[in-house]
Amino acid sequence: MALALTLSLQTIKAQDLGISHFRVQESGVTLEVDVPQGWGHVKLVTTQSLFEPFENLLASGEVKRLPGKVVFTIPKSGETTFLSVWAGEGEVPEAPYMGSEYFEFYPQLPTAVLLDEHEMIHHALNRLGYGPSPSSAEWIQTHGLDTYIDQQLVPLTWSDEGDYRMRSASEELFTLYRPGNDTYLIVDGDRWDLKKGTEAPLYQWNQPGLEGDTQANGWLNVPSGFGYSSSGSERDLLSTLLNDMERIEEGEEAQEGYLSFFVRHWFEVEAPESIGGLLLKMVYDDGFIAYLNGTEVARNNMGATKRPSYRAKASDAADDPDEGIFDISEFKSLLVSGENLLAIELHNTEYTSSDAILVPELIARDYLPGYEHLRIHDVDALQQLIHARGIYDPHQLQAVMAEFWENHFTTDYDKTAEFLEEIEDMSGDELISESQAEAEAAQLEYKEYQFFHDHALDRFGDLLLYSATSPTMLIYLDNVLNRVGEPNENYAREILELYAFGVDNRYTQKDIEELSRCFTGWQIRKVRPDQVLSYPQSARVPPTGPSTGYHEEVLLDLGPGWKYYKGRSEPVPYAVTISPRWTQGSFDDTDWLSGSTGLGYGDGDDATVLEDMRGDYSSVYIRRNFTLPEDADLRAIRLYINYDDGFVAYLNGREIARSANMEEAGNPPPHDALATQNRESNQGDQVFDLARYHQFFRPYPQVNTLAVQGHNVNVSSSDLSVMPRLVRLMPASDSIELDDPNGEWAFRFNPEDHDYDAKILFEGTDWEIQIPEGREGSEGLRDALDVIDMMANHLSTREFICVKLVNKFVGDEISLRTYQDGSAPTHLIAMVDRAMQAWEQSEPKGHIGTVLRSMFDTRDPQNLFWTQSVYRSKVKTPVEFINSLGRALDWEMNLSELPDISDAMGMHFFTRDDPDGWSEYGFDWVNTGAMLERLNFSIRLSRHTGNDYMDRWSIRRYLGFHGITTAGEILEHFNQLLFDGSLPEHSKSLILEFAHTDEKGDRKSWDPSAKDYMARVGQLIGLILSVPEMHYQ
Amino acid sequence: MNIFNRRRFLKTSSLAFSALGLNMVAPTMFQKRMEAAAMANNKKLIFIFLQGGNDGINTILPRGDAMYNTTTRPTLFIPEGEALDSGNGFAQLHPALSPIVEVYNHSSINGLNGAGNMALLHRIGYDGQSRSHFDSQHFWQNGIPGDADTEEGFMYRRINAAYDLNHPDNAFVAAGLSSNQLVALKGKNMIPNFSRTADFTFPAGKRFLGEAPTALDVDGRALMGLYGGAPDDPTKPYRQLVHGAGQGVGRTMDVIQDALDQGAYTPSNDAEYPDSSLGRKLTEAAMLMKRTPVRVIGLRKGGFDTHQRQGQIAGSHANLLGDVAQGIQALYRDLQDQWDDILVVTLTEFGRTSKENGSNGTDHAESSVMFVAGGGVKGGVYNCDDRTWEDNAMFSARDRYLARKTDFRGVFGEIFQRHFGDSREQLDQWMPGYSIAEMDNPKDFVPLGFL
Repeated sequence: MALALTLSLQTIKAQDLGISHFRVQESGVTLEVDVPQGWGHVKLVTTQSLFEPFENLLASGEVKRLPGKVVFTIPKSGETTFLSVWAGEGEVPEAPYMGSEYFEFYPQLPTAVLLDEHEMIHHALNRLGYGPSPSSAEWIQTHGLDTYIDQQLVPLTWSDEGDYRMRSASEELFTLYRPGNDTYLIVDGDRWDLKKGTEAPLYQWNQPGLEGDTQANGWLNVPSGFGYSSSGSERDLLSTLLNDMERIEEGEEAQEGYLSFFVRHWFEVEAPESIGGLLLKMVYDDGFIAYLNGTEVARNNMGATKRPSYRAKASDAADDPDEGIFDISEFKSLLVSGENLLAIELHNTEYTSSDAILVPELIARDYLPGYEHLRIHDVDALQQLIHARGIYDPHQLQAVMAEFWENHFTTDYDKTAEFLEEIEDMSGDELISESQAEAEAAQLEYKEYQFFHDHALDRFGDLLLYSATSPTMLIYLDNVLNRVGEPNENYAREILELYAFGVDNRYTQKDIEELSRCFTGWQIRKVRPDQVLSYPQSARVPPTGPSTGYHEEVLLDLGPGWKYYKGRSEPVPYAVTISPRWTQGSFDDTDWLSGSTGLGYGDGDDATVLEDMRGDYSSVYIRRNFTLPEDADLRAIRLYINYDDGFVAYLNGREIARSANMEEAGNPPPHDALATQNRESNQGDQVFDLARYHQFFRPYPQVNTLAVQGHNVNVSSSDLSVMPRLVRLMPASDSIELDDPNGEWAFRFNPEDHDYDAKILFEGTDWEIQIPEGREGSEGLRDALDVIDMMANHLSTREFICVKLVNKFVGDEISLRTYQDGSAPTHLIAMVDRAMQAWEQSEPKGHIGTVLRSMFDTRDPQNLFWTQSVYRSKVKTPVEFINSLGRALDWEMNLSELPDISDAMGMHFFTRDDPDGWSEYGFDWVNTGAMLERLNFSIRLSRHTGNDYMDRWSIRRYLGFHGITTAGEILEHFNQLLFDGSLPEHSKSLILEFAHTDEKGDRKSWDPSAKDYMARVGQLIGLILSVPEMHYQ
Repeated sequence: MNIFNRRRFLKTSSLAFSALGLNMVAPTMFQKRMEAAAMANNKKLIFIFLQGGNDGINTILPRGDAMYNTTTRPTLFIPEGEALDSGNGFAQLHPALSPIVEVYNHSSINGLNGAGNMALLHRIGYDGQSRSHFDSQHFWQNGIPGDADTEEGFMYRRINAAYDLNHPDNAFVAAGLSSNQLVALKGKNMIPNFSRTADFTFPAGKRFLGEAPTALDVDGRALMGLYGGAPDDPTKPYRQLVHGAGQGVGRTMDVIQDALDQGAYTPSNDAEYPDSSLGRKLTEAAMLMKRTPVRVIGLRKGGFDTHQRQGQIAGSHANLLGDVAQGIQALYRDLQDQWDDILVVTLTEFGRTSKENGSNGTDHAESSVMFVAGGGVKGGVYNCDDRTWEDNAMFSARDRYLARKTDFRGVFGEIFQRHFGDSREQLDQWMPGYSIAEMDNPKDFVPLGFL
């Protein structure tokens, strides 16, 4: 039967697709159609008549919004009467004839102007890296561009042993951290010998051999810390107030004062050789020098004078007050078995200073072998690392992609530090000091950035999952707060919008809400250094328990066995001063009464009731002997004490705890001291960690004495109670204290906070995910893992990430929207398609190195990357601009100022507030404010004379190395190096005119022997580096 | 017209308008493009973009809505006795806004009869509200909701039509007080931006800075000569922008240095700017308003993305509101000499969920509040009273959000027409698609009458 055909062009609604060729052959029917730009697919349909509403779909295929020619080849069919060709949007409709046998598409790409060989080298250096340096340009000339690109794509297969600058920069930005367990050899509150600096001490005051220089010579024996202060919070640090130290010039309280004081403390070490590290932990204001067994081991704010006089002033003032840990491990060989002497002198900057503070502690550290690792100094050092890698590291593409991912998965150091600092213990006190929180936040940011660096060219799905489980991200977008019944959709929204799918790209508000429920229970915890998991275990089998897991065991409970003494008088008879001797084990308490705890009256919570106390006496003294179990870990003992109103507690004669309302009451408080504030026992136990006092416990089978003095707020108070207990905490096997500096923060899945109800995502799409209710325990983690694994290769993710990669490497004139609606330039659409195809074909899927390899392919003539429409069409971001200048001068930079300069240009990594990351688009970086900063930087960099920016920068050596002297040669050197000789003539003549004129505009010859030659060269280079062309890449 | 085509249409029309604007300029007309586009009288504007999405419900409290309670907002809810009364018997103000009472000064609040120069506009948004920060910030500033790709600000279009921005005399008719330019002020011709005036210096000196090419001195000199000259390849992107930014540096330098040379700035009338980044920027804005020809200044304040621990009477959101309120109060006092000519306007990309989330905060939602202050403003609360606030309005959009009443373009339409004296037709030029949006949702564009 003959085939009757009418080409019904008028029925093609969307576009006037002209059918250019139509042939009937034995094999079938061949149709050729020209497709304009902007359509997703083309379909061939048959209808029985022109008026037949029912369409029979015959063949279809994808045209990717590109213009071009489509060829359909279909078998003959007797049924067909009318044929029409339609262009449409969206997914390709299913048709009987699909695939390359029936459908071919020949995209018509713009006539590409290819780059010449020199331009290709410049293009590679500007896009795969941070710009040309003389050495990198030379390297490519020698080894060839293809070798360069191949190397850049596999950064882990070769090392950068050539560049010492990267190594020395790293040494400055990191310290080697060695985890260890700390033992306090000297703690806050220990008694020291102290001599006020009202006169010189004996010259050998700091020597262990000195005998006889004791009380007779004005030495006191008092507990630390020492000093005075006008600030209440600073006074809380002090046990021994030196109120006579401050000089008061006038008035009733006028006094001479003194500038310094001297303290000595003996401490015992049993096996000095077993000590791994020795740390001096100091709170001080202003300057100090510390001596161990007579040898100076640490000083700060004291200038360089070896043995300053007692009237010497501190060289610098402390911030209110300084805290620091001084590593004095190099002096540990000074330690002897037995008694050792730590001596410290403290100096003020002025007699009239408002404070002087000294709180010394000494720590012995046992290092845990095998867990040494690098720790970044601080967030500023981390920002410098971005520049160090960008400028020095020959693995340029890896550095570029590490920055790209860090920016894509941006997090905020400040929020992390604040979160860590605000973590509270059970009594509501902040656990982690500001300095520790900042150090740990910087380290977390570093670890995250380092993962992105190590895996910059690996699988996208791993980057996505790593980011989702990274502690900084969990904090940054509030997933740590996202709990069952209390959802927080912040992260769920942004992983879809910013990290994977792209905004409004095939998801709904409902999906955000369902996904936020999947993420409930995603939290952080600290883990011990020997239990740190690496990715992917850290993400897929994270710990589920809390950082500190304990069970409690009561060592000394409430009950009988106590002796007590009513505080009508001091408990130590015949003592001239108020004596703490009643707290010691040796004290004879046979005259004391026997009773049980709680002890007191009123409230009905006391086992031994002091009926006569109210209105008669305001304090009571209690003590009890006890023996610890054989296996007790002396560090794990805590004092749980409920009390009304105040108390001071002692272990074997030394103070271990006191209530806040007894702070001012003296050491020890006299029997008639009163608590300054009311407290009720219905507030429950207050907990004191006694770890730092562990050496004062006497191990089994020796006898210990716990002693407590309880005080009322006034003698007529309606109640009083003292209820002490000793509890030991038996840690779980993975337990670690939150403030343990050895630990690392890690992802934790907390089943208790997870929402186990059913969830449904992307309902009604091909990617629908149904999560059943009733997953149990750690299975709940799978809810979000399933979604993330699916998202990693979702069409939306592929589109969004490939568009962003094209923005990064190819051109700005395309976005997710203009890609999808086809209004972007065709060469950029083709580049996105190319990247997406490589993503899909890579094994595993989404392998970034494979995607980039396809984008940088020099052998494929279809690849539009190496064309004029791409070349020098982008504007550098601030970091790219700074790094490109550093590379152009190819010198050793002083990195420390670069983060501030980048910030002034509008870009700073690791501290951005908004989760969308810095823009990859040039138009966000070109404005007057940023331009001014750029110009100032170029000029200061090249005119530089001091040590800012570049170390040992020598223009003479630079010129000599490159064999250039005249202004013309210098201009041409940079013109070739940076712009492939493309500077406009007008610019060149302006620059040469500038070089050959003086301040007044008169002609001035270029004289290399003149005194001002170097300054003129610097100005010339500054002007060259400030040209408009410097901003393009 | 389907959505796809409309976007196309908007794009094309946007391009056509700007091309039209350029074509109509006679080369010799530097100062004013055309009489009709000149900005009326000496009217000025300061706008503050509150970034992150300000919680409008916690700013102007809908006390009369029964759904505003401790069930919907357990930790955020502010009891009646703690809030400031607006005087309309329905709305109350967050107590942290007390500094603006001096400007708002409704007689029934404190018995004073004052200027009443503060309009509090509730329920401002746009059709097809995006809950993405980045898209919505873009829409609010390019004036074309739905189009995140157009990098041209609606305020820029207005200024660019009135002035030849490339003429040295017009170098400082508008400015962004921000290290990166606000989208509202972005465009092909450069409006200057900087984060602080004191940093706008060029230590390398005058000789280095040079001069741009002119009719007298064709080549120009040094840096300005380079940026004033022809680009390496005019067919490639960014050439005009980069050259314009370079020349902008030189042109802006003189104006700012002249302003700084007039000495340290002391605010007038005991104005006390808050001790914050916003306060510092507003101080500079006031100084520039007094000492330079500037007409429009834009700046941002971040931190409004209160997903957690938003706080109640005190807390993070209260601090943000207090900062803004004190800033507006200080401008009110400081700029009394030109108060009748000035408008201070706040923008924000969206409001926040009517229901508190699980972290004592709120998530992204739809409409929010705008503040408008200035000598010509009829003070009061708009869109939040018995008459305009229907039952259950707090959950009137998708059961989650406060539905909008007024389109932000309508608010600016009122500002352009009543403050700058523009015609209705011009609104389509500043905000392409204005008429279409008005046709689609006429109620959203009914003037509120605050000017």
